[in-house]
Order: sequence, then C-alpha cells, then structure tokens
Amino acid sequence: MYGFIYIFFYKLFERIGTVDPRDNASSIVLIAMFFHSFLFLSAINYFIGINVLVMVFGENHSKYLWLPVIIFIMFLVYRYFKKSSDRLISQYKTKSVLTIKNIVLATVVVLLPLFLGIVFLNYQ
Amino acid sequence: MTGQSPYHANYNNPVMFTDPLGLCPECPRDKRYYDSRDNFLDYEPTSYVSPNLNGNSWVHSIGRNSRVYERYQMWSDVHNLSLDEYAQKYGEAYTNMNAYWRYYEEEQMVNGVQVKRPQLIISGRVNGGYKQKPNGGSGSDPVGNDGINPIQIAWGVNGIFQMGTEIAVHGPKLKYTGPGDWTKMTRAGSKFGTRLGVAGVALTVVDASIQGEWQNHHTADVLIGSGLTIGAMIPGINVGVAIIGGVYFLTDLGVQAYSGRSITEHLFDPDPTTKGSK
Repeated sequence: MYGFIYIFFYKLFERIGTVDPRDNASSIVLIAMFFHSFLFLSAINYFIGINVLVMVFGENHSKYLWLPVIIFIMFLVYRYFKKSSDRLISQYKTKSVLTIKNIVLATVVVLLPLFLGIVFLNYQ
Repeated sequence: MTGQSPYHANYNNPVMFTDPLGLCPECPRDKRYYDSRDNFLDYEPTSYVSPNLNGNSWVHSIGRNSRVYERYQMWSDVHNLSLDEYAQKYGEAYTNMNAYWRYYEEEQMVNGVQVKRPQLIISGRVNGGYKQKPNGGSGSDPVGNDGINPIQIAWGVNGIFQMGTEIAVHGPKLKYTGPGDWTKMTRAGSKFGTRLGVAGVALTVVDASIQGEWQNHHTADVLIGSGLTIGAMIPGINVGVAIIGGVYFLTDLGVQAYSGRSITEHLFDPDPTTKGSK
C-alpha cells in the first residue's frame, strides 16, 4: 500500500516538477503513515478504551516527548525509500499510475484514516 | 498601469532609454507598421527613443535578448537593411542630437509634413495625474509639485517594479557565485521544509491522541504542516517556505513553553477551560 502511495505521488510530483520527486513522495508516505497510526490509536481508544500514548508517559504530557520517536520513524522511512525507490520506480515504469481510479484511491488511502480517526476520537 | 506610468515613453526604463523630446509613444501615424492583414504591429521606435550608448556598441548597450533588439531586427527588415547597417545608421543618430534631428526632419519632409523643432522639455513632470501645472508653479512651489502625492508614489513603486522586471527578463543572466552549489542548497531547503512539515503533522496527531479529542487547532496544525510540506516541494518558493516554517516552529515552541498552549490553540481554541498539552 505504501509502495502504491509512493509511486503515485512520485509520478505526480515528477509531472508537476517539484524539487526532488523521490524525497517528496517519501514525505507524503510518512504523512499517510502518521494518519494511519492516528486511526489505529483512535480505534484502540474507541473500542478498548485504552489511550496508548497516555499509558506510556501519563496524562497531559507534552507532545514533544514523542519527537525523538517521530524523528526515528522519519529517519527509517526516508532511508527505506531512498534505497528502494529505484526498484519501485522500475517496477511501475511501464504502468500508467495517474488514472482517475488511482487519484481517488490515493486520496482515500491518505485522508480517510484521518477523518475516521477524528470520528473515533470525538464520538467515543 | 503600464499605460499610466510616467516612464511609459522610456519603456519603463528611464535609465536605459531617454525621451528628451517627449514624443513617444505618440508617434506619427505614417510611422506605424502593419502586417499583411493590416493589423497594427508597432510604431517605429528608432526615431524617438534612443538607447544611452555611453560609448558602447548598441548591441552591448541594449543586449541581444532585449525587446529593443527585436524591434531593431523588425525595422531593419522593413528598411531592407542588414541589422548592422540599420544599427550603424540609426545607432549613430541616437548618440548625436543634430544627426538625430536631421534624420527626424528628413523623414518628415519625405512624408510631406512640415515639422517645427519643438522646445526641449527638460522634465515632463506629471503632478499626481489630476492637477498639472505646465511651466511650473509659482512662489514656494516653482516646479508645480504640491507635496508628496500618493499616486506619484504608486507610480514610482510601479516604475521600480517594472524596471526590476525588465532587468530580470532582459538583463544579464545572473549566476550564483556564492559558497556551495545553489541546486544542492535548494534541495537541502526543500528537504528541511518537508521534514519540518511532516514532523508538524505527526506532532499534531500525537497531540490529539494524548488529549483524546480533536479540536479546531489540530485541524489548523495539520493544514499548516501539510501546507509547509507541499510548499517546500515547489521550486522557487521552497527555501522561503522552509525558512518561514522553521521560524514558525521555533516561535510555537517558545509560545508553548511560556503559556502552555500553542499559537493555533490561542487563535482557534481560545477558551482556557479546554484541555491543552503542556
């Protein structure tokens, strides 16, 4: 799934002409991953009633305590896509990625988890 | 706005072009040039607007890519002259007022029009566009300029922008000669900005999860983070966006340390009873 997001946004950024399409696509993958994590945490909170982040550092702690973890995840993901971008790009070289179906799919895959997470969080 | 600029006769570039007689852009009709379908193309510029050569060759002075160069090319075709012949003939006229007038009167005689050499106008001052005093004012205002006029200022600013645009488009191609590689620096700025934006989005969703509630400022933070990420990808603005993002990030840290609430929290969730992370 993240490979699809990467390739979709890589092709999109390449067509638009951004500064560094490979790196920029990794950024969008990371944003999608954080949205998915948010949905996961919200779903656990909604269905089981456990706030995982509060369990680790206690209630009302600063969000900046999680900054090292976020930086570590970002480092891993950027490194992974830096290494495997050639493979992914060659894999999708002949395929047409920027289709209407894929545009809708990529939008849903990236943004829907955020909206669902908000719903789970605010309507528990 | 270009048509209202006091430097319109100088192609908005009074440094490069002079119009001491104030004749352009109102050139005689018989000097107009039409294409094969009788569409008006251009006035012949060479009679009235002269490049300040300052001892340099005309090509050196106006630049090969400039609009004037293109006009020279067009009019050399009209006169069936080579570009060099045309430049030599009329370029000389520009540097010499007498030759310039000889040419002007010659042309007018050829066209059968009696021309009187007008008085030299030192400065075609336009006073605000609505109150003009020809021949100057009187007493304490000899030049007819009653104080600072906002329209004059607007024209001045517009003139500066026009000149800047002219130089940027037609001027010498500048090359970055500072330390490092400009392309690498741009890429580094883009990487810094996108990472900052991603980190901002991640911190926002973490904050919402900790609070157990999605508030208005979370939406604002996600939009700011995504905007920073996307903006840092766009060539030309990416470095500026990255710098603005970095300043905002540090400011937000300071505001949070001081008040316990982020900037967007102050703006979009001002009720102090709402929960906020430290």
